[in-house]
Order: sequence, then structure tokens, then C-alpha cells
Amino acid sequence: MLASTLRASLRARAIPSVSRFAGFRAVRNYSDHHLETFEEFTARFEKDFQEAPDLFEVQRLLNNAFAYDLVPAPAVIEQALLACRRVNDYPTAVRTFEALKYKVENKEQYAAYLEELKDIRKELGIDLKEELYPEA
Amino acid sequence: MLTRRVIHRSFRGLVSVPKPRTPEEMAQDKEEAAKLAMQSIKDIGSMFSNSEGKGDDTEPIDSRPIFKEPSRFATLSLLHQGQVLNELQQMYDKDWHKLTLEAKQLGYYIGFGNWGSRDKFDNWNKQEPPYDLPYPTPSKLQTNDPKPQTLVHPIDPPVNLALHPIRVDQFNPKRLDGVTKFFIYLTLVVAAIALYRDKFIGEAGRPLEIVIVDPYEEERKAEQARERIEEDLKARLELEKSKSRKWYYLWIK
Repeated sequence: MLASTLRASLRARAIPSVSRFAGFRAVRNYSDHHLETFEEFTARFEKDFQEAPDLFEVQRLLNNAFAYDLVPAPAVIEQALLACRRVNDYPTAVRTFEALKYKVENKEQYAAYLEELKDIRKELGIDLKEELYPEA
Repeated sequence: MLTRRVIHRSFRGLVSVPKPRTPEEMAQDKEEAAKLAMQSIKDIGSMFSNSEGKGDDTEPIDSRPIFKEPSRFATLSLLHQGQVLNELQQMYDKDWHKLTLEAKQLGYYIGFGNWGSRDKFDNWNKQEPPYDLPYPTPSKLQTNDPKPQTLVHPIDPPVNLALHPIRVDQFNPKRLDGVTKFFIYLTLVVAAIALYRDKFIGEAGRPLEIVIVDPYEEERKAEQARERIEEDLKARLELEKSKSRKWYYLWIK
């Protein structure tokens, strides 16, 4: 029985395992999806962050929000920070600012975002990574 | 609560290319990998072993040194990691203004430091883009001044963190660690021996079965058998006796 099982598995390996649908999966037609406007995008993520039940969902939403060709609006970042506070995860709040720092194209934009989010950052007591690990 | 960031998007692009590693760094990596393997074995062992009486392994530890030196968190047992996480979480549940710098740094190290699945993320405490951002760096934006009606597009091609050079080894199924390899080869050897025995030796070569005999049980069974035989004999004699009587015996009397 063992021998027949081994033979069967060897036979299975001999056949190249190329899915019939591999070719279809390789192409992602984003144009087929409904493209959101920046306003819709902002409203969607604000709502999603408000409803995020746990840290997993907050981090998933952060990954998704930063995976577009625009920087999320300050309102979205604010809701993300409030969600971090709600799930009591301080490091993710720090990481949100870190992600913002490298998402914007220059230091001036980062400074503008920090200015815009100054109040919420002060209210919640969130440090930046620069403050946690100052460069020697 | 302090779970690592989970990557959901699939992609082909790369974030940034790390510097080539020197032989010293590679040797250091190997040493760290060996330490981690030992720690894993200890953790697995601690799950199965009855640790009663071992003392220190199950006793809560003083977490202050861990707060002072967060990198020590990675070397703790699962139990003690849980203890430190609980202590930290209790702090995070309260006002963040009251957090100490040590608590903040420990949380950041646990979440995003170079241990566990982020083992090679050596720039975690530097002012450099992390290796697991869901967008390429330097960032390329559609516009710096989006209007409400500006269309938002997903990054194309999407970033595939599993293909990042720093994580290629982790996701490479051909490069297994020594412990896993050992168990795979052990399984193959056992399977080969079993196959050989099945084909060329058969039942004659089966392992000697150890039979444990209970003399009291044997005695009880023998007693029962003896009683059964006696009962059968008695029953047969009675039957024979009843058959041996003829109808005219009564008449003769």
C-alpha cells in the first residue's frame, strides 16, 4: 500500500502543475474595477477605521489605505490614529506617522501633515519615530 | 494584541535593495538562526513537558531588564514573552501621555523590531524606510494636490513583500532549516525501511510482540472453564439418566 502511494505521488510530481487559469490570474485589470474619487476614498476609509473592531483590521486598513497613488487625507489618518487608541496599540500609531513620512514626496508635505495632525497627536500622546529613536 | 503587520496585497515591485552582506554578517546571521532554532526547540519542549518542580521556567520574571534592553524580549520563552506583553498592554490600555520612553521603545521593538518573522529588518530603529511598506520608496504620487473628484488608483504594479530580497529566504520553500530537514529525512528513512520490510521480509520479520500475561487473570479464566465443563458434564449425565429410564419401569413397580 505504501509503495503504491509513493508511486502515485511520484506520478503526480512528474506532471507539470500548471493551472489552466494561471494565465488569467497573471493579469490584473484594474480598469475593470470601479475607480473611486478622492472624496469617496476618504469617506470609505474614515468609515472603515471608525468601525474597525481590532488591531488586525486597523493594520489591514492601514496597509490598504497606503497602497494607492495618493496620500490619504488627514481626516483618514486621524481616524486611523483614533482606531489605534481604541484598540490600545501605541506602536501602530507611531508606525502610521512613519508610513506617512515615506508616502509623501518631500519633507515639506510631511511637515504640513504633522501640522494638520498636531492636535490629535497631542491629544493622544503619540510620539514620532524620530523622537523614539533620534539619529546619533 | 501586538501582532505584526499583516501583508495582504500581492505585488511584484520592490521597496528598496539592501546592501550585500559581508561574510561576518552572514556568520552572525547563522549564529542567530542557531539560537532561534534552540529557542524554538525549548519552546516546543516546554509545551509538552510537565514543568512542575522546574522552578524558574514557569515563575514570572523581573521584566525591568527587558524594558531597558528590548532586544532581550526575543530570547524569552513564550511564557515570559506573554508576561511582558501583558504588562506592556496594561500600560497601553491607560493614558499614553504617561508611558515611559522604555515602554514605547519596547512596544515598537516587539511590533516592528528585527526578531521573529522580521529577523533581518536591521533598519527598524533607523530613519530609513522600513522594508515592509505597502508602496515603493521613494513614493510616486499621482498628484500632490488632489481634488475631491480626482480618481484614486491602486499602486501598479502592487508591492509584493514576499518577493523583497530581505524576505526571499523566508518564503523560499527549497531552503529549509536544519531541524525541518532532519525530520523530513527521518520520515523518508522510516518510510524506506517500512517499504523494504513490506516487500522483502513480510510478516516473518514483524517486530516481536511483547505479551504481558496476568497470572491471576489466567487462573480466573481456567477456573471459569473448569466450572463450565463440570456444569456441562452434570447436564449431560442428567440427560442420559433421564433418557435411560423406560416407560415400563413405572409399570413394573
